[in-house]
Amino acid sequence: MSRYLGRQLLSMVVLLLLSSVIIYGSMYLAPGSATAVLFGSHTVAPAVRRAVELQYHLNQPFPVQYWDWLRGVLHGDFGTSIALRTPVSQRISAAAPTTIFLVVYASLLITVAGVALGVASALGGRKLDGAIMALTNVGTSIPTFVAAIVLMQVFSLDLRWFPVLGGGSGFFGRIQHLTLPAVALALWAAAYLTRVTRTSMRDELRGDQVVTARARGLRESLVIRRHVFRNALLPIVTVSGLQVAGLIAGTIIVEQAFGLNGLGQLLLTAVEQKDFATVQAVSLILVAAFVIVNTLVDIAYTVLDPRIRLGLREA
Amino acid sequence: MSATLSRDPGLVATGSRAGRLAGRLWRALARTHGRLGTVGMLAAAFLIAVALVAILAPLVAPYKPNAEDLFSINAAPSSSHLLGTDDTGRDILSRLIWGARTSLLGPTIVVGVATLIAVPLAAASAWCGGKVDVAISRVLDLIFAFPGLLLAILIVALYGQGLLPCSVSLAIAYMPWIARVARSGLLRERNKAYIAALDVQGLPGLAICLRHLIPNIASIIWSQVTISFGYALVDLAALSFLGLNVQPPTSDWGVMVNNETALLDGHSMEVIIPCIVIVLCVTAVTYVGNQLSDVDQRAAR
Repeated sequence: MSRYLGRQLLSMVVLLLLSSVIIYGSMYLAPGSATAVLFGSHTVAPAVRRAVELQYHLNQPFPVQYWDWLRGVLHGDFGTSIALRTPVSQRISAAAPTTIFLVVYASLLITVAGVALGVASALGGRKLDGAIMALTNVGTSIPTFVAAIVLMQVFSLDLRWFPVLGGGSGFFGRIQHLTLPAVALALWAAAYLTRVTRTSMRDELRGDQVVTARARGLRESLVIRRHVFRNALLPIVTVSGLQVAGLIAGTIIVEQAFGLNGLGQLLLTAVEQKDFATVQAVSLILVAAFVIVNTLVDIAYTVLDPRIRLGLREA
Repeated sequence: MSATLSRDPGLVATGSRAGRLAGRLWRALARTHGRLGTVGMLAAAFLIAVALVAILAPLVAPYKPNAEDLFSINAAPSSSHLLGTDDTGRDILSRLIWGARTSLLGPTIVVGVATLIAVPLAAASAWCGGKVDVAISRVLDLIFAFPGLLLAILIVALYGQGLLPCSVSLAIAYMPWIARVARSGLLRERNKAYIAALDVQGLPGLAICLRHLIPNIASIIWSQVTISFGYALVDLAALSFLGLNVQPPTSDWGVMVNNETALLDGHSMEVIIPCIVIVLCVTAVTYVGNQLSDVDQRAAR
């Protein structure tokens, strides 16, 4: 187990390092150098240009620049935005709370709604099952930006239950402002998780252990809880983890639709301003979050299934 | 159901050339029906109709996409403007029809480029095995680390907005998915006896791959390509929505959706209609793709 864990963590670190090289390198190769962005169409004296290059270490070779950047990143310093002349980490710490709140909120919605509806669908009668499956069909065919627009139209503009734009402040202010964005973000994944939960529950319901448990005279609720739901958890955990990882890109769309000042919005603004230091930083954070969540899912999978831990089955 | 359809109509009995042609067409339809089912056929017919409308836009659309009629701004649906007009008096139906062009061209570029890269990589991976396989898998893992939207935003930051940078970056992001599916199909096929026989006969590996292996897993690739097309349509529309893909005033479904002022001014149908069109297309494509891959999975067992 510890060897497996070590291998997983090692490959995660290698993947993170490689993607950081790609993110930093792609901006380094960008057509139009950083000084060109800074000076625009002004002509500047060569001495001034050189001074600026010295200030931002632009005269160093690529590996040195990359190493300086990486060392800074590991200490929480993402460099200075050349366009705005402010530390990038300042902008990130201003934007991150909204995005984190949004992702956590949406993840809760996905797991609670997905598992509850999936279990209800698997155990309930034919009518309930049909209704829930029809709902998931709708849910999985609506793209995130469409969900955002429809929710905003119905609940903010028509019914006026929720504010239209902005992130809100304080815990309850955030809840009020971020409920619609979180629902828009969660819709697709919750519908998908519902289906996975239903299939997994139904597979386990047909298992021999259920027949045995019933023959032993166990209460039905105990049979469901201990012999069906527990066994069905494995794919549920995997899929919900992967869905949460997938949310990270979805936040960009939702933040744009609802005008939230999160990391996604910061990334789009930075692209518009050609603020490469910020683009690098936010991209790196989003990719790192994606890779780390995916690795955690892999590890959770092995922890939950003793067969994999004991080497009886391939991970 | 397919049994009733596959019965040849009386036309064939006449033996005329037209009759034979009709018979062949009928059998092809019956075969498609066997793979897609009735709903799948309807979905495919809908998609073909949308594609035809996109191609024939200059003939079909009642107005030019950017023709402004300042005397009928935000007009309600009427006989002259079937879906009404927007805030500069442009005909919404015409913009939808012209917008179908970029909205369908983008995903076509995405899956085309992705498949052209993915299939050779998968073939090399499956045929050579060993170190080549490991190396290619590592590269694919690295690309998997970048969500498609994020990759597209990075590339737009470098090369500017537009349909081409967005499509190419999504192609890179989608490539590993197609490669992975193709590789597993190729591996299964590679272990069959006829491939070993061809290898023993001394046919070069490249020829075996091109003439036998890849054609024999074509159906698996097609179903994956169809499903990817649906995802690409959504992602490209999302990129248009973010203002990174097709730029206004060019007509595009995603551009039409990215219209906050229309929403806030109470002209929500302007935004909702292209949303509905996108959802319909994606649902149809996904249904056809899933239907195709179900057939493959049944065949594999």
